[in-house]
Amino acid sequence: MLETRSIVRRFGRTLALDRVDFRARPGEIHALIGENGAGKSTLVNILAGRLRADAGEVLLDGARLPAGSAARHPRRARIAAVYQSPMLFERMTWEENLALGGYRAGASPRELDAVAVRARTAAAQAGFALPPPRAIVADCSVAARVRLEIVRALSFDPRVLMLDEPTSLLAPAELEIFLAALRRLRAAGRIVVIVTHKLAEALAVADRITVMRRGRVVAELPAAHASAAELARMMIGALPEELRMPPPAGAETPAAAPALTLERATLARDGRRLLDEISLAVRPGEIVGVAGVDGNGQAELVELLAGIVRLDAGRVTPVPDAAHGAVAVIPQNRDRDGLVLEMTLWENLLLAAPVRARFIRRGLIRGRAAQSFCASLLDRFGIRAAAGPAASAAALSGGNRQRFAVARALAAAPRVIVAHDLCRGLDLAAAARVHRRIRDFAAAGGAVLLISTDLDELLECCGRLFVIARGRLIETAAADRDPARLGLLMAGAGA
Amino acid sequence: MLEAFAASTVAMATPILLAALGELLVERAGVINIGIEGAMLTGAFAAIAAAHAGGGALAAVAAAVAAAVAINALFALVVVNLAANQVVAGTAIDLLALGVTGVLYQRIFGATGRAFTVAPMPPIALGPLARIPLIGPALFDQSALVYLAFALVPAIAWTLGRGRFGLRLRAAGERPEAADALGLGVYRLRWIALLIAGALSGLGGAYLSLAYANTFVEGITAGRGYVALAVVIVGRWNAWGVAAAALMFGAAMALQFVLQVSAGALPYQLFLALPYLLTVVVLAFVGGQAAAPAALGEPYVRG
Repeated sequence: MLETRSIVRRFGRTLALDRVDFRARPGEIHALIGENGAGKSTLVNILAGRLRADAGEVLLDGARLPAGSAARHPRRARIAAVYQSPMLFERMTWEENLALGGYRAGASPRELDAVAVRARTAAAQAGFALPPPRAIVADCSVAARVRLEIVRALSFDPRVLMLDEPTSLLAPAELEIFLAALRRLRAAGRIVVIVTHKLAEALAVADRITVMRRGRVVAELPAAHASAAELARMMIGALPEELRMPPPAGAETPAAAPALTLERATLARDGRRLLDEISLAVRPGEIVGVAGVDGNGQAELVELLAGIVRLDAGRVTPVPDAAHGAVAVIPQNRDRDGLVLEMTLWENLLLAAPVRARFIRRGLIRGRAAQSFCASLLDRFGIRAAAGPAASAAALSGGNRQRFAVARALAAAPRVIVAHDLCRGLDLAAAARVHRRIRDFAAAGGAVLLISTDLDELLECCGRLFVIARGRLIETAAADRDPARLGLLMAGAGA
Repeated sequence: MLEAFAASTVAMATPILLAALGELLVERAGVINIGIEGAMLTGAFAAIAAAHAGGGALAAVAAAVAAAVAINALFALVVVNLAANQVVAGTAIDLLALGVTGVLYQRIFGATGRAFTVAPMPPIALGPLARIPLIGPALFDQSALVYLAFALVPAIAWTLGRGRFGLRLRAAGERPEAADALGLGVYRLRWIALLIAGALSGLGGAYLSLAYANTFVEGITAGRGYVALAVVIVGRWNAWGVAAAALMFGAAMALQFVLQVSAGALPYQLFLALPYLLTVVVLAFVGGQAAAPAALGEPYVRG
């Protein structure tokens, strides 16, 4: 049994874990659920030995684990983890990645072949396949990478396997294979801990569920006795009335002239069509969704609309130009493409050309006016920044950064908002608030293109829904509005 | 004359190659060590100081290695354990070495300008091989350090490409946090790489003062450490490439002698500048980023 006793951990003045008692038993899949910031990842990191607890202890089968031992001696500690952000060496072959794990081998062809044989056996037991020999990890699909990480974790022959939000990157079809693999690991007598904020998943796969809220364990219960509504209530307290979603805005097309039009937009690189004759029109007042597994052209579509790349054929109206400001883009990777982390919030705000234009007089920035505008924006969007507008973007939590990116897009008063993974890193309540803002924007006559891997989000928010697969865009019919059917389309079956 | 040019190319390439092979290991582990120039300079000085104190060639080389390893240990402490900016720390090491060797040189040898010279390291001719026309003297009639430098090329190529230690070193240079999560010990790996690199820069420095110049002058390395940095980039972070690039720069340096003799009309400073011009030109055309270790130069703090 894996057990923690009264674990306490602080980050500065925040109490991330408050006397946490957690128990997971052998032959059990244990889901650890909670909102962002509830302390799930902190707990996993302490169990995995990457963080030290300020107080409390971790026991495995009754024996106390010295702090940090799981990370220093993963084989001896027998706790292995698969982390939220993939921990693979992208430019190495997958065999080399596994050789660096529990197989402890060098990189000679003979050793790598031996690693591959052992890995394929382990993968077959878990029920999945591995990439072709000597494939570079960077060329592998997201699902293949998750599999590689699991096989590498298993190479340590762990008693405990922890998976921190492993499914956030998987398509529905891949998810099934993955959950089946977890069940097989359970059958082999291992302790499987899965961290997630997706209730359906926890209910589908777990035997027991521990719910965390604000650094505390609020409940531990058998999955068979739990309902999604009850779990949601435990995770977030109560969902405020104003955040409950009105039903989606139907599939009928408003009559106004489109605010954004793509006509046979094509983008090729190295002879491959990343965007293949994409045609799409988004009208004022409409939220149009684009579903798809990452890497099917979404990034290129966003770059195109942000004016970063140019079309090889076709047409976009209005011509994408960030300086013009008709289209505001909320990028998927806000830390890389959205914000300059070293700069203050008000400076980041002024990076949006339409906002900047309001605060420049004779070539000089009116700093004080910009700062007070930024302060009012922080206030309106509930963004918590200790130093206010003068705080550096890096000082914000992930959720607050995302809210800031949304706030800035809205502040630019565009006609169109293009959002890629709008609610990445947001918990349920925060996501609901962001959705609310976007809906209000649409209700006031704005056009929204929502590109996401989260089908629930798309089904909830969007009128018309498209699927992007291998650079092609397919419009879905009303009959397709269901995750399983969309999953098939995303895999390219309907194209 | 071609024979002399070939021999001179190899001789000029050797100290650069030694230093660059060390830097290669360090960079594959994710650290960029600009202090390499200082480590070479320290090695060159320590070798001459040991010879002056009455030590033989072996003692002089050992002193060079010890001094340069000590310098790199200081660098490792600052950039690995204290996670300081690597470029700033490396530059500080260079300036420190330049100052300290200059001062000590004047204390030991006086400021009179009367140079202390040592007997050159004797070349070791490898029997009939040394008599092969053109390449014989270049490849098989050189000092022990030359043989060592070129023998290290396949050894390091094997380690980095196929060995377990090399694989771990690469892991530390690609994603240190992931390497640590696997229990590989990034700090330890980077320390080992830096200590080996210290020894190799010390050897390179010793070669300069003992086998090439037979004396020490302030700033004797004359930017060879920086050239070694360029050689690692031009060599695409691969031991064979590094050897080829080191020979190319060696040839550029050897060329200055040939050209000074044959093209009397041009100012000799032009030829002296040739290797450095070559560095700038080649670096401008070699797009290095694709092959560089992903975490190169980023301070890494264990969580």
